[in-house]
Amino acid sequence: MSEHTRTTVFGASAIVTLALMLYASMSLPAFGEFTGPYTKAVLAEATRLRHVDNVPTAINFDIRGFDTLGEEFIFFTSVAGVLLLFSAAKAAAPPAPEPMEIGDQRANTGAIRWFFAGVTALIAAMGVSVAAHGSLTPGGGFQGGAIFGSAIVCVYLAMGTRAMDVAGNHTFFTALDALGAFSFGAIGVATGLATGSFLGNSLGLGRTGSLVSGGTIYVINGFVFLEIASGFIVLLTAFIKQMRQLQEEQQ
Amino acid sequence: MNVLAYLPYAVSFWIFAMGCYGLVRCRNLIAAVLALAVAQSSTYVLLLSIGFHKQAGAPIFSPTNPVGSPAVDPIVQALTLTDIVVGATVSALILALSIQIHRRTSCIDPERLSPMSE
Repeated sequence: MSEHTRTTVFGASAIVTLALMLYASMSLPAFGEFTGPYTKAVLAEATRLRHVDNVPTAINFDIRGFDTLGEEFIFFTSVAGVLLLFSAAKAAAPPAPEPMEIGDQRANTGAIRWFFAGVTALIAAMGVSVAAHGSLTPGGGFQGGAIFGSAIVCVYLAMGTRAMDVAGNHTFFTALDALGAFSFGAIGVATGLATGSFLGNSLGLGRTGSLVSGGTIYVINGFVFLEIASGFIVLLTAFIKQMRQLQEEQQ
Repeated sequence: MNVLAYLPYAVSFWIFAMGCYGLVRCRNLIAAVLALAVAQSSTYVLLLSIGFHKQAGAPIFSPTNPVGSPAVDPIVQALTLTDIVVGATVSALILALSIQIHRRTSCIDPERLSPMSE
């Protein structure tokens, strides 16, 4: 199919689809006026029943925890898929000569090195803080993990690729990633045995408004942080290593 | 009928259409991944605009915003939140596939890639 035909076909079908979607949206409640019964119930009861101020966290890790477990496994599978694809490439490629230091020419000056070392520390601390306050303020394991994991890019900018081989030790972080995913499921099974319902909240809930509150919510929040942070580190180092390998192959 | 009351939904449909347009027209797999991300982000706009309440705060309570004060829908926020993180990882997976395709065929133009070719 030529590009022109394809664009025409797309344009025609897009107009029809958009019209249908707009028509369907007329049946939605007007913007700002949706009041689902489930929403009302969650808003009224989540904090009282789970001692967590941050209602989205209570939903993610408890009320809708089973769905989040599924999403965790999508995340885990994607990370595993990336590693699998890249390791297949490694096996197919000819043995690489002495690794080249791509990042190092840029990162050689002390000023840049120290600047990014500081930035790394700041971002990592920010990630931990966002995750640790998951029960109280906007944030949680997902957001904190993504922030923390992204700090690895600053490690690369500070130290270059050779240091990243140490910082981004794959075996260590893939193990952490697996531990995070496994623990979420294991908590589900354990609480299922203890309370009779999968992911039933059976730990002490703590005082509403204190740092550690919400019972299993807080524990799962921690394991999700572990999984997302190590998953991001594994992914980003895999891509940076891949970049280095591609540049070697091209030489 | 108040058109503005449905505008946010129309915006999300528009973002979705633009993402699809990018997928149809792209000549580069990397651009295809970005277009897919744009199309996916339309779901965030749709979910969050469905959950919006007029004159309501964040569904995060504190002494200054006690339980019972009006808040927007936390369920769609929770959905959006996990979707963003998972979406980023799935993009990474597709990017890794694109790198493999480039390595095997020296080509990242979907136009010139035929299905099942070695």
